[in-house]
Amino acid sequence: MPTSTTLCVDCHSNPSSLEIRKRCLCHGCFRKYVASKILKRMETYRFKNQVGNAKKRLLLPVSGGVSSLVLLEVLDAQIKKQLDQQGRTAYDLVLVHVASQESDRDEGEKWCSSLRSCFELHTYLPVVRLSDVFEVDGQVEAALQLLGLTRQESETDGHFLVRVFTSARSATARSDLRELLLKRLIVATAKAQNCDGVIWGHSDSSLAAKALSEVAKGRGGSVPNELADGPSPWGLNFNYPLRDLFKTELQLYLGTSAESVRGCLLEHKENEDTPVSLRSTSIDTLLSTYITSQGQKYPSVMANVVRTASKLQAQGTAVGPGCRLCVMPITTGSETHELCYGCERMKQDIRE
Amino acid sequence: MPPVLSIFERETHETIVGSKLFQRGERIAIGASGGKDSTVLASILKTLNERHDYGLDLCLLSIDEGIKGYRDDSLETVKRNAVQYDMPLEIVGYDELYGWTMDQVVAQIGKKGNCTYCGVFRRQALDRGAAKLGIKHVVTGHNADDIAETVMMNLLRGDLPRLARATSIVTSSAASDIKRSKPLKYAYEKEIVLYAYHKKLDYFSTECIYSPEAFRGSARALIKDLEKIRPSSILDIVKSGEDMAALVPPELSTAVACSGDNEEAATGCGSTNGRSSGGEMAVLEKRLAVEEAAQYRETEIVLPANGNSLVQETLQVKGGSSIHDKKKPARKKVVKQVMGRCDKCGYLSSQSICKACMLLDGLNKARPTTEITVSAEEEEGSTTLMRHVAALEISAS
Ligand SMILES: [Zn+2]
Ligand SMILES: [Zn+2]
Ligand SMILES: [Zn+2]
Repeated sequence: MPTSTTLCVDCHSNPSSLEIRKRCLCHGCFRKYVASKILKRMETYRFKNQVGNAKKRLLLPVSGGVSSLVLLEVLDAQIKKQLDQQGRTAYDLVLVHVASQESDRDEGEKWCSSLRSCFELHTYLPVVRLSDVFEVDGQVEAALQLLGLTRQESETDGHFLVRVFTSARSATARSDLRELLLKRLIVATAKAQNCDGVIWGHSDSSLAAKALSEVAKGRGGSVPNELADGPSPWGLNFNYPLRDLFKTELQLYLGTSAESVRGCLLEHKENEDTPVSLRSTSIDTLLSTYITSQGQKYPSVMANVVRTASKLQAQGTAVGPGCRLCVMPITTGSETHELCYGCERMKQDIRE
Repeated sequence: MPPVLSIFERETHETIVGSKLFQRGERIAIGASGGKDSTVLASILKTLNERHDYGLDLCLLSIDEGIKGYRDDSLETVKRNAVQYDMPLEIVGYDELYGWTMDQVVAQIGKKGNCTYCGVFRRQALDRGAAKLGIKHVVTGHNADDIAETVMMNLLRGDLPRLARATSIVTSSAASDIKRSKPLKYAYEKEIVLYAYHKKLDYFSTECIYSPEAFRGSARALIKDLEKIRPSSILDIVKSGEDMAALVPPELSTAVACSGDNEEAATGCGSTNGRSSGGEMAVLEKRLAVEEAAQYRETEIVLPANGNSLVQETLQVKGGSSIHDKKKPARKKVVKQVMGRCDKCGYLSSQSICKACMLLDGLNKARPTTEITVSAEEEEGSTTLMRHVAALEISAS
């Protein structure tokens, strides 16, 4: 633990108050450190990398959790600075919030307007619900049919979505489905809004958990695609600017943010009911717990998982048509497959 | 015969045929530890070889590490197996292969460090043993659970080349004479246990006397939990491993220190990096954290007086650069390694001297010493040696 006499190793003038990755920093320098890690991952969208006058439109999904708030705060500051210094911005942010519960749209709108009062420069889309995926994504129903899930006549989007989830017989399949539908919703929304890319708020910790979880679900072949910055198989650019930061660091950062920003933090809502036994836990939850618990003792080892998995070569879509559901490359050998191994595996847990 | 048995036999046959594992007339050494995996492998290969007329010449190959009392029971089991399956048995001792038994190594360097030796020696032992017998194909009892564990473990320790090797059913490199394969690759451990039970096979329940190394221990616990959630995750991870293996960039996939450097057998005294829990994991944690800090350090790096060689190694690789630097910190170059042969033993190695010979060298230099009892100071001493060895390993891999 740093003592009060230890100076910050970056500015050499303030007393340090935090020890971050074996370096003693003051609050100000810690905030600079976090911002620099994020902005380094946004280089593609800087003025100097702009082609012609093509200003990019980027979709930023904000859940209201720690990660998305920190990301928004840092990007907002960058945009403000660009406006101050150059009178224009290198990119525009389009914010979208997905209501946590199907019925929570009004709550969501209320929250969005409080967020807007903190960060007013950006475009805010109306709050969307997961069931809106049927509205915006023209292919999703055909994809779900491959899992044996067909909308009944006159069934509303909301009811169909509920039926989709109840037909998933394992927590793992439910969480897998939710992730897939959420991704399809975000991607379709981005495309509908003419966005060039999506900025994801995954921290290093959540990417590590995701990588291990995909491996455990038989989706190992898509891990490099899932982790890559840049063009994605979805036909949009994906960026993960928080990839070099631990969840705990983001929490520390938000702790030093302005009261008004901290006030925007939405209580973390569990997607699943708190599992009573291991058997009813999803693989996603298990791996995320694993990364968190092991990360307390071995933070760098856990962080290194993402770097290791990112060394794998992402497969272009050139290898052939991807999976109809998750769009990732199919490696099962047979050309007649429409679903990848991981989605086929998920299908085994889905029964009407 | 209960249906589980015939299903298991049919599936194993399909794996063998589908992967074209064997050729008629081939001599095959079954790496036999006396444990359930290798006993089941021997039993099922004998059955299938006769039923489907593979035309294989099968024998059992056992390694005696020379740990008094430890192998006695398991070697007795293997000897009985040889009679039961009517297969010739060859037992090759560490003393024959290396000139040192593990007991002698322990006496020389103390208890703490011996697992490094055990691991390095073990990796080469089966291949060296087979070479002694003029056999070019060794089969081992690795099952799907072992492979899933190794996939997760190597993801955690950041070793993609080993991840790739662990998942392939046959491993051999252009320069190697010995082919290794895993006919039980797609078999769940549970199936193997059931098969052994129903066939009333005579095997030795090897409780490893060493606690598993931290990475393997962590991965093992994880696999067990995953299996409870979804039993098929074991094969799902094997599939993931195969798919990831295909994506390992070529410049990395040749960077395996030694072709005999197979992922360790999880059977018997599998992975052993010491009783000190957290050993390898803590070392990697420290190294990564130091690398990270070095990237940001503006001032001259001052090594602590007792700076261990691992740290030094790392700092040489990373250039110090400040947080505001525009240029990226120097990154470790992946050096493409070319397989050659060890100058000393002729064994396949990426270095001019293979790891085993390097360790032997150290042992032999210090040979004429008095008998050492393991005291508290001795434990201290061997820790330093461990560090030295660990540093050698880093530079060699
Ligand atoms: Zn400072
Ligand atoms: Zn898929
Ligand atoms: Zn050698």
